Amino acid sequence: MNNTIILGVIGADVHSVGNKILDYAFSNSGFDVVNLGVMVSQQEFIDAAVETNAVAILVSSLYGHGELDCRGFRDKCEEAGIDNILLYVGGNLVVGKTPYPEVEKRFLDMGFDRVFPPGTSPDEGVNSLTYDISSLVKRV
Amino acid sequence: MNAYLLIDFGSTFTKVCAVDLDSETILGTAQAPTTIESDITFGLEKAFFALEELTGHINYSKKLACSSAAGGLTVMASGLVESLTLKAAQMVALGAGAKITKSFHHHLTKSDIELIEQDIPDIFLLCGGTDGGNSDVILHNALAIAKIKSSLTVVFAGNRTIADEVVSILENSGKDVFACPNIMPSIDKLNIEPVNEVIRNLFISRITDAKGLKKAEKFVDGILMPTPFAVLSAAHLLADGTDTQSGIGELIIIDSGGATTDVHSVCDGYGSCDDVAFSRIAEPRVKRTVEGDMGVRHNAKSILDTIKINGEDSIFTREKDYINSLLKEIKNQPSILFKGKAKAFDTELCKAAVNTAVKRHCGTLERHYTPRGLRYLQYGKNFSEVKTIIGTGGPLLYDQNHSEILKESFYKLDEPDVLRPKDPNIYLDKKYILYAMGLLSTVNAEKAFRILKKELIEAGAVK
Repeated sequence: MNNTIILGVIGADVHSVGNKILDYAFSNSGFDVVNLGVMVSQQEFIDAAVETNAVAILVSSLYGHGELDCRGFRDKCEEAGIDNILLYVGGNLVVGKTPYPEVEKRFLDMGFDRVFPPGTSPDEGVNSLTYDISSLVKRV
Repeated sequence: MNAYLLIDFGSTFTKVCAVDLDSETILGTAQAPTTIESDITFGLEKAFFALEELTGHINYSKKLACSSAAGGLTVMASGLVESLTLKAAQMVALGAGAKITKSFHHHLTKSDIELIEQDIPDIFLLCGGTDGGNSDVILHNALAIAKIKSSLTVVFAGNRTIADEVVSILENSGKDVFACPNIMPSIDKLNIEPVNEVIRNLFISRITDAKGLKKAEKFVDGILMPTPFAVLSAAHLLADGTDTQSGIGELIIIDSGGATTDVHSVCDGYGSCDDVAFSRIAEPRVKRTVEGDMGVRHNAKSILDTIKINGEDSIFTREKDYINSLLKEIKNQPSILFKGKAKAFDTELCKAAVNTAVKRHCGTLERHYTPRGLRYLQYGKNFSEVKTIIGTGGPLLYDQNHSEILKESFYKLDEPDVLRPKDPNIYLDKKYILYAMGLLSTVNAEKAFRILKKELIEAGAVK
């Protein structure tokens, strides 16, 4: 069973604390974490996923430009031949007071499989991912 | 006296260098055109007689050689993702002193295979996938290569999960296969040394024979390495020193040649700074790049194209016809030595080649305006603190304007994001001994280091 996941903070975002916490949480739960750190471009996420045969890409964004940075991500995955990869995104995804369900919908429409609001416990991410991977396996 | 003869079978010239290990001095150097088509030893003998005229007869205790004759060591590199395993494959091939004739990434197509068949390289370097990562593509590529009818040497350095299968597919198809540990075991890690060593061993054990260099072996004790690797070894030795002597620190060597311009660096290049983040794949401390379109003679036209033509006043607009006639002369006879006005043109070519080659070798900064202020993303190595630049290579050494040419490698105000050295000192390899000391370092690194320091740093400083 492949457990490799790609982790990183997208765009020009330099918030590294949450990134390290996620790395710790997922590694301790048995995932093989490839952590690309901060200021990661879409292309870098995808390149790393192709090369490692990763099962999921976990994108963080804390600085409010998430929507801009994530646009077209799913399309690029399809182009790179990893259309089945799980795409997660979480953090302060948009600036302002947009209600969260609206934010979630926007990102789901962009092709993300799960969207996490600020304050989510890492455990929730780990559990969701474990569940999603097992359903992927069942699907195949 | 304990004299060594060190030889470089270059693509155009065969160079010889006599060294006395007891006194740690260079006894003399000489050169003659390389004669690979007829018999490699003719050119060597000629260079050797020229040397004996200088030094008188010497009994050598050992004769060691390196070679880039007959096209050098040719490698085709393949990887999965262009910016990851292919880039790693290219770095390792260049670091081993090879010339990369073609690069491929993702699936090899039918036309790719045709390209390989038309121009079989000395080594095909097959990479792709981190350990436990993607294995489909490299498997596809191995099956495609297996269909090639000619004999081919393949070095495999990809995903170890599939290594056994790939090796047996290739062996069953009659290819010579050498399996190495993965060049990129995980995304943030490069494992270059094992592949580098396999490539160099292949060069010694079989490639020199295949290239008609065998005849030279009755005269020399061994052709030990490709010439670029000898230069890189000398660079490494001078920068990092030996067990008992500390090196002179980070440096860049610019080798300006007729067919290519090479840049060698020994430098970490990833300083710690709060507002700089690094792009993922870290380049090695010892790095070599080759610019095949920046040979001062063979690519004069393409170098000219890179020079910005600034208004009417530039020499290039004023003297257009004259320059075109010079280009024609170079094309007919690349080894021509210019005089007078034409020489100034040659200097300009050399400057432009150095400028471009160093720019491509250096890392860059990308500016990002973030909610926390201006931050930078660094791609490649940062050379701004490097204090030593050494120039070598015919076109540079025979030009009087050494310092003017080498200064082209310095930091430029109009390109603030190219991480060139800011305030380096410049030195010249006046006697052309870098390759020779790289060879000598395999026998006695302590002495080779002291000679390098004496000849390049003490005697080679340029004001």
